[in-house]
Amino acid sequence: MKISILLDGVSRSVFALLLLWQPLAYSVELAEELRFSGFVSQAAIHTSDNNYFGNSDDDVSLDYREVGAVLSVSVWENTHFSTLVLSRKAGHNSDGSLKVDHLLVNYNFLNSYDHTVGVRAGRLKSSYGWYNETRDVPFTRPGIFIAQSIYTDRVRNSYYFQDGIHLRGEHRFNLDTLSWHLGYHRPNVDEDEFVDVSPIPGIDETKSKDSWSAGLIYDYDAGKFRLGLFLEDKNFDEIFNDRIKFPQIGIPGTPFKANDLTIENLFRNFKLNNQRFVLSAEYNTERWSFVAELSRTFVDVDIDMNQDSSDVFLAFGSAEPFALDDPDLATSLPAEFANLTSLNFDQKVDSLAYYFQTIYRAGASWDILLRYDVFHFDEDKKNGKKLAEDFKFNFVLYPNHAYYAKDLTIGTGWYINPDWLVRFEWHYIDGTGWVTSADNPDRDDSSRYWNMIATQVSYRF
Amino acid sequence: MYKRLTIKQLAISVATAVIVLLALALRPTSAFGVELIANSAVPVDQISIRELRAIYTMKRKRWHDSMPIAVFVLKASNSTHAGFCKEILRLFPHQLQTGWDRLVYSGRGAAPTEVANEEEMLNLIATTPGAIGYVSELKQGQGVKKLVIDK
Repeated sequence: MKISILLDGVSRSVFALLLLWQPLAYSVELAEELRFSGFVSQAAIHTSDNNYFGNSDDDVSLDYREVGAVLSVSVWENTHFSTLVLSRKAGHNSDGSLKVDHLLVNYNFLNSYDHTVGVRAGRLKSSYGWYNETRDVPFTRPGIFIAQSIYTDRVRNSYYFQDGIHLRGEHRFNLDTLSWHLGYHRPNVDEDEFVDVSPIPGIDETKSKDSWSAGLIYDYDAGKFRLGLFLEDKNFDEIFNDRIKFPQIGIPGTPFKANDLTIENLFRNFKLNNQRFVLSAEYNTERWSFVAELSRTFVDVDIDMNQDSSDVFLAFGSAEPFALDDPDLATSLPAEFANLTSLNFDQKVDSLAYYFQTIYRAGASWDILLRYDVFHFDEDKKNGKKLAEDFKFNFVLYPNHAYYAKDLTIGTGWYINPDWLVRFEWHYIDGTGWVTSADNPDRDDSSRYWNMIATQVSYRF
Repeated sequence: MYKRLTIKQLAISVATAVIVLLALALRPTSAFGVELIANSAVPVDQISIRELRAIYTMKRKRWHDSMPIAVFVLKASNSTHAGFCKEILRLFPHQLQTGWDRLVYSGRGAAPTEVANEEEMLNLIATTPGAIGYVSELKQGQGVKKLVIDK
């Protein structure tokens, strides 16, 4: 923790220095091997319903802007340092403060004509899919927003940033290149995001645990065709506070109604395991690009029950303290509580996300984007229909459309010159699965069908 | 507040319309003259397309005698750059640009040095040991030599 504070301080000083050079307005080559470049973007967003990146509902939000600068230096032949500092304002999710986006060293211990093998270590972005590592750089995105099903901003800070080490390699054959990585890391944790996505209220603290990743990319003819497979295994401990309320809906199938029950000392902690695999494909011609990505995410929440607490039995109306796995429990409880013995406290979620994207380059200076993007919070319960039945102990239950989203996007980008880019896009969306609670505190009140139009101006230096 | 359409129907009709319109707009591109040049101290006179691609995708960093390679490019909007990408490297300009952006912004490496025009390209290549670049036409130049591409 102290190290990251120190790094933040260092990066702020570096960034302040870099800003002094910014008026030069072009990539500054400070020395033969020292490089500096960056970008600035500002968007305007309007939505018909629901907020996206600020108060956009029937209004115009200007709360999406990015300012970033990357400084890199090759010190020895096989060693390359790079840091990217980023100020990102995105509605109520990112407040625009300066953060170290990455701060890393690459060291190649094998670098021959056909093979490169090395390590990269430091603060890294999760290396999955085609866009995650450069997700906040406007010139690397096909539109103002990347597909939110796979690159959702709802868990952005916790799931995409990590401190760790990657072993990586690249093997070049005639026109084919095979690259891979194996990673060990500790994800960064943004407490607010875990509170937002947790089905159970009352998380006091979230800690990241040992986590792993792997990736394999086949590339034909310098990116004309690419195929990638990415695996991630992230682990967290969630520690609960003493007192859990049942807000919103109470417990389905029981007499407990919204907000009428408080249970103390019920849970000690959860072990949250998040396994994900992403399959990515891309085909490029001079004018066309076709991209498809598919992601499956398996979330397993292992709940450690606190079975000794007298508060538990008081809450459930039992005469004697009980263990929840006690076979006699059903007979010792009043009849209306009998079904509580079959409560499944372990939660499993199997999310599905995929999109198809086409880009047409109508010349060097403008392009057109068409994308259809689908997200299901739980693949077995498409459209959220059976969530209420199956999530027996789901304390926070939103309307069905809060558990999926289908987004049809049409956009266009115009390069005024290679350094200035203007984008405009329209989204027609069914569902609110990836909108954030920070921007939409009242998720119950969200609208199922909504439109979004957005424009963004980006400049690189 | 808006009319509710089936999102799949909408997706299919829009996709069809866009593809038809864009297919009509397709047009062939014209050819440019491009010559590959290098600093006169560079220890090679011939280079294969494969080696050249490895250099311009920033994967090869040194010449055979271990002299560091300094890679120069013209701006993406320059027609000589487009000609160099397509006719010599046989890559699309957007492919190269995407690759360089990925390198730089993921922290893996550096992009080539961009120069404003061909005159600056010639000057920098003449004065930078190990430099490689291209111009539309090489007249008599000091400290610069033409590289022949192995077919």
